[in-house]
Amino acid sequence: MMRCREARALIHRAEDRREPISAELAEHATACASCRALLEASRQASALVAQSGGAVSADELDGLTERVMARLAAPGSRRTAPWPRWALAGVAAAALFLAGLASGRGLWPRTVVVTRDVPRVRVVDRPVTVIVEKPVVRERVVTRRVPVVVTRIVERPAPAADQQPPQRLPSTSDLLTSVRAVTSREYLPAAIAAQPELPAEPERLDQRTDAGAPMSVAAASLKGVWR
Amino acid sequence: MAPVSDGELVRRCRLGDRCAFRERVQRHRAMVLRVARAITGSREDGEDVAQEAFVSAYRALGRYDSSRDFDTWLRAITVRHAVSALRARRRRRPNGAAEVAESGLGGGDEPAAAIEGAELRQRVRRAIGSLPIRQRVAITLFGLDGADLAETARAMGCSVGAVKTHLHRARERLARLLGDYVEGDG
Repeated sequence: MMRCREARALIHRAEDRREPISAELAEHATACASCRALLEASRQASALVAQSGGAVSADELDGLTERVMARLAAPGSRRTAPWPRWALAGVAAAALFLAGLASGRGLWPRTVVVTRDVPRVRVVDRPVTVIVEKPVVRERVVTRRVPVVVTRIVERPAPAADQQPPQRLPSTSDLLTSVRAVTSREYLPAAIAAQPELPAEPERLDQRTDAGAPMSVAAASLKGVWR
Repeated sequence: MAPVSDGELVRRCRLGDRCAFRERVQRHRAMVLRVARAITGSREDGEDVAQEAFVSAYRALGRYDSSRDFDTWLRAITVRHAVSALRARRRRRPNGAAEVAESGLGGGDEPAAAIEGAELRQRVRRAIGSLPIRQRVAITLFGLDGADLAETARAMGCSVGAVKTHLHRARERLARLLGDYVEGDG
């Protein structure tokens, strides 16, 4: 004889799997009011729910479509679907990067171009390492040693004194504390290295050119090494 | 002309193509409306829930995982909105059973032969309407359109075991509520 506990478990299992009940379970349900109530209540609920969505007319469906599209087109509604999260993350990262660049500090060490305002230079075949000490904080003068690698220096005629563009930097001392070329003669072409006036170790540089104009970093370094 | 695939429609929807989303709505509106009506037990609330579900789906397209079935994803959104609507309604009117009796779970549309006796239908509606929300959602989703346990679990956002628990408790409760009535029929 099946017990109620077992019968109820079998009823749930049959309902979960939508399987017919066994003859033994049916026999038990016939004799047991409680288990019969469970079985009948489950069946009645399933039958009602199966119909609960009801038949949906074409007019109702069309009306739903129009209301949804009207909601999306309403003022204040987003014109387009939102971007995926990865796209938003990419945009945020790009914005952060651009903000970093705009701040003038950059997110990683910047390349310092030292050949920009060179008045007169010579071509150097080998890389030359220059250490520039310059203020990096505008409010307070804090020096930091920044290694700069010069890969190529192009000779360019110096502009005439009356055609020199106005200096963007207020003075060299504001920007440049000192420039030391840490290269040695072995880095230089033999013809240049053999020049007697080339100092073995560059001295602290004068921060003014002969004309008294402020010097750029590159000019100072070159002047110190090769002049 | 071959019908546009689901993936292509989603891609176009994400680009803001409203026509693609309209086609999406037309494909799934019957399912959404049936689920919404079945859970809320109300024609009007069901239509509101269906509308909100589609609008939410459009706004959430960026989070949709294309590897998942769109129908299941949309059904889960519909269930969430229907549950919210049910909770709001119960807060406004705590006597949920009476409300369901008024609105009629599946009221009016089912064939008369499907369930014998208007009185029995009314009692079953009231009993389902008085169930706790999770139990009500489980028994509704499981009974609607022949969904299996796994589909019901995905729509509810829970495990199959949790769905079984909800179903078993719902049946036991229904048996207690309808016991004296259905015993006589048996």
